[in-house]
Amino acid sequence: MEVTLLELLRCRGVSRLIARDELDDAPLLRRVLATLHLLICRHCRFYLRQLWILKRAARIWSDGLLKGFDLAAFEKNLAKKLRSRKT
Amino acid sequence: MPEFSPEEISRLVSDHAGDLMRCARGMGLSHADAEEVVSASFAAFLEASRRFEGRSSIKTFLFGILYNKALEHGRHGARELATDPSDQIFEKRFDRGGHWSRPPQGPAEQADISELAELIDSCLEALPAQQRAVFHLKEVDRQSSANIRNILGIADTHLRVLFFRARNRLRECLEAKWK
Repeated sequence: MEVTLLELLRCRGVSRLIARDELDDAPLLRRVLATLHLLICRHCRFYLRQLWILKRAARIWSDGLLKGFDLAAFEKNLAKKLRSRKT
Repeated sequence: MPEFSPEEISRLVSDHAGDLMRCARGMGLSHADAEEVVSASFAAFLEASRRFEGRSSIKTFLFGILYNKALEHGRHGARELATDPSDQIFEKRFDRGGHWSRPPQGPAEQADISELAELIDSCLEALPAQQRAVFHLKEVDRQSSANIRNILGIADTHLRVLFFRARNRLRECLEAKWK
């Protein structure tokens, strides 16, 4: 459901627009209203900043996900599996 | 599309195995399960390559296969509820006029990020599978919304709702842990 213009005068509407990642793609008037709101509302700026921090933290966390992954060994096992499927 | 030569398969694996592995792990699979699912995804891709019509990139096609295999493998169901508990939690942060009644608290500094990265694992664990996949593909893997819609087979509105819910759940979870 789209955030209405009236809602963009309020914190709930602005934070919803931000969290849905609609700010950059929004039509000009919506972008202006949301940006003006962000200029005067420190809580919404804080919310926006936290979502950015969340993204950075997730990226750092994801760096550890490939620990122990051996591409050469994986490729070798996959080739073996593919060969056994063919026979 | 003709069958892939061993050299092409090798290039395909080198180009995409790392990203697929990260995504499978990001969706909550153990290292061993993720390797199995990525391996099965390549095998399925090679079998289905005749159906690949080039309407999406090879990467998107591979991620689509991986996503479905990861859902089959995982213990979570794919179905997203019409209402999510996080919707109500979000609403309760505001007064009747739509302004913050309980403004966001918690981490806000660059210096907090490493510490948060250690807390995020358990918060991600609590996310429903689709929300987790959307969050990972968009924020970690930096895929475009169009690609994510293709991978998950969902409409734009649904994607935005899932992303909104995932971010709010994670933000609330980290705020609660940040004390």
